[in-house]
Amino acid sequence: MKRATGALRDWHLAGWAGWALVGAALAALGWLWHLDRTRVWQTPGLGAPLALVCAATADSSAGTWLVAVNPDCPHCLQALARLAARPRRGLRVGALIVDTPRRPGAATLAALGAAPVWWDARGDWRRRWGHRIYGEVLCFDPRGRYLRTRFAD
Amino acid sequence: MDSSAAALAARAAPDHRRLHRMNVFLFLIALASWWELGFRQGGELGAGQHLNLTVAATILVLARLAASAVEALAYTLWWRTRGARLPYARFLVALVALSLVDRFAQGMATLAGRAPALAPWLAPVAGLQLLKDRWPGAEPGLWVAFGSLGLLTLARIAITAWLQSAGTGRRLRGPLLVTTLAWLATRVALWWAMDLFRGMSPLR
Repeated sequence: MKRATGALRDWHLAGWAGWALVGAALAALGWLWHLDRTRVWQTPGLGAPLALVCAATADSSAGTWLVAVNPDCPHCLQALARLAARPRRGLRVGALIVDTPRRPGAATLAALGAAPVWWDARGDWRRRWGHRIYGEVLCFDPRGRYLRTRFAD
Repeated sequence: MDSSAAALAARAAPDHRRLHRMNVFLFLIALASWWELGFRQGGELGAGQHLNLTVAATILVLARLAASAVEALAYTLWWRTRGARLPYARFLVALVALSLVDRFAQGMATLAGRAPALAPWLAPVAGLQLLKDRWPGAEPGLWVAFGSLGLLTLARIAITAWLQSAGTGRRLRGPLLVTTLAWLATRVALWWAMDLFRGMSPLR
């Protein structure tokens, strides 16, 4: 009888410990979220430290749209191809290679087509701008000032 | 146990069996329904190019089953720590059957997508997400987490609580409080997780 009562108490203790762990995990997630949302992120910019690795003559009088591309992600490449296939007057469409520590080679640039290509060598897109979703489109005005980010169609 | 209580228990047993048989039937319909949805959505997303559609649909069904299994386990363990037994397998079958409510809400969302004029009328039932286009400034993580809030979600919470009450023999108030808090906690966790996933990137 005593053993049964002890087993029941152990079971209750284990149960409450489990729920305490779940509560702690939720609190930790909330703390991470708070840190992430209150951090001051830098505004994206078209100039340095981004490196222009493939220049292409294109009219940018209406601005520049850059698709964040990881060369290993086929969806990003498709998003870039879709956007480039619908040219708009004066709008330059290019690629921003992100999460790629090594300088992109000729094969990577060829896979991106004729678009101008910038390379985020320092990882600013993720670490300083706080962006995380491949295939998004960063919109800049004709002077290269950041306007907004939109998702790819 | 006196004779009247024994008579009541004897009468309740066939009712429970009947309810379970109906749940098993609805469970099978729910699985077929989720499989069909996975097959159709996989086709729309072009899964056939990279992944077999049957595999995509099966993965959706398995994911749905796994989510219900975890949910049922959480409630079963909760009631165990409170000294009550909730039959796991029966509760799991009932939860999967209850997911037909979510499926119905998805059907209404699809209908609102085809006929946007209906969205304001369907939103109180199927969820606030049908009005997303009317509030473009709202946080995308909040839409993902709380967009499903509507009468169908409230009904799902109430029925989940009632199933626990019937399974454990406890009064409805306790299971209702636990289920509501669990729903809120998982939604808040989803909101935070989505925000962490996207960072400053936009969400559709």
